[in-house]
Amino acid sequence: MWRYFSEDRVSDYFGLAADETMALRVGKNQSPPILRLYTYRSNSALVGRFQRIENELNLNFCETQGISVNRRPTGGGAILMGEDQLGVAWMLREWEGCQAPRELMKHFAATLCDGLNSFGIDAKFRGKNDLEVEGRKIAGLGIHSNAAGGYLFHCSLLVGLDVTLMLKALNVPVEKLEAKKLQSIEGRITTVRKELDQNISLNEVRDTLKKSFGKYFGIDFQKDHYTQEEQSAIAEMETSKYLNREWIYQKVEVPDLSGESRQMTPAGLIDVRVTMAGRQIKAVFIGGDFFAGESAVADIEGSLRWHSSEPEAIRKTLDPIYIRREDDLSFLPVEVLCEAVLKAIESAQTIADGNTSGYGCFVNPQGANEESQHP
Amino acid sequence: MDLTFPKHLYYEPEHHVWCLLESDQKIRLGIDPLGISSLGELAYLSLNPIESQIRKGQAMGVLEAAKMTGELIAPLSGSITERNQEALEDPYQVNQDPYGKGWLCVIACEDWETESKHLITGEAVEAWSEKEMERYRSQGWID
Repeated sequence: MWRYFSEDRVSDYFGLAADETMALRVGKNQSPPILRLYTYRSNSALVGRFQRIENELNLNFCETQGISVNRRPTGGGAILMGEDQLGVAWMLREWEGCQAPRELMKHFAATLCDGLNSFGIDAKFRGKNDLEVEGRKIAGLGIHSNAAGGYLFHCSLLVGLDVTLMLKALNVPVEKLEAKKLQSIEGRITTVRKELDQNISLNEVRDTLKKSFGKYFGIDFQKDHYTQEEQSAIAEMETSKYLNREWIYQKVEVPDLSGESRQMTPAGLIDVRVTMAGRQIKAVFIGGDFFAGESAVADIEGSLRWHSSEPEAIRKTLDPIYIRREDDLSFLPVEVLCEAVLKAIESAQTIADGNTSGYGCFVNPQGANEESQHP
Repeated sequence: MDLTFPKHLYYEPEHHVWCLLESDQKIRLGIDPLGISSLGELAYLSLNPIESQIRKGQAMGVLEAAKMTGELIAPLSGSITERNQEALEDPYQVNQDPYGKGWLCVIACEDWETESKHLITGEAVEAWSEKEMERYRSQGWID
């Protein structure tokens, strides 16, 4: 028996506190597994567990627009959540004896893809934590494990999105971007409504995902409510953590870095920009005037999100893409691309606090996409 | 990664934290290579502050690896006396050198004699680590 919660327009602090509290209770065997499909009150900007909030969000803009800010227990980039983005939280200890988080993640992603596929949207699980439709990101996934042995799998699914508002909240200087650059950023993101070319309701998407989970895991969900004890525990979590400025604005020890390389190669001009958390790549943008398929370049960028910066690891990730996308990448040799990426990594410098070089969950590095000229 | 398990260390069998007894109550802690392999490359790491009390089985810190966040579970009870600042600023050291530069913290243990009884050490390490590696592979924790 699993529990099902459906909620709308929750506050940022309640939404996050309920996810963490209930996952903890599941870990302690105080609750069976839970599926929670919910929306936040428009709008809430949520940074990843260890992100520097001053670098990731335009705090002045958020304040003047009434956008609440908070910090998730899950990792990854900043996101803007509201009434057009569906939060999917799956909480459990194990499934059919499996406790390995990456294996469980495959089931979580497969269920979400099944739901989107039933609308005719060809969504695929890509890299470590993305759902994409032909190279365009439609959802970001994350995992948090707690000391009690419980897991929180979370997905932020874009049913709709005000891209300009998201970019402004996420510290991307929209005013300085030309229309072409904005279009390019928009081209790397998609939504359920955009894919279907209709204004489908969030409830219809929610109902479909609920059915998808029910079918995949063999569960007949009935809507549940928090017990009095659970409500008290969530309230305690709100007060101690998600309403606490020390949590939201906490200091992060690992520095944010950004770097770039721009060089002429036999394949043409290659412009690579990276943002990094210490030695880990957060995001890569590859531009220039070389010939390569746009979706193949997006494929590479997606595969290098939250990736090791070690040369061998980068090559190990790129080689299978080059085999799979041989025709699209034949004019951009893997050795040339590797060298350009490594030079950008070597050039990476610490980003000062408040700099606008953040990396949102759905956005590549600042300035990214602006000079992309691949055909 | 080199999945070796030196016999002179003590291992917490569930969460794969190693313990080095440096003096009567001074214990150095780190994550063993199997624990690290199951997480992937660490991006971020935080540890409870110096002088904070930690309880066996409860969180003593948090880490983010390959976009998964998880709590670091204390293998013993006591208080944190030292933290590895270099690893906090560059968590990849934990991946690169888990028994050396990648140590996490030093604690003053409250009751080593009692709490160390659930740790694996000495001749028992080889059989335990082989069994754990097989379990981690079969369940998909590591490739």
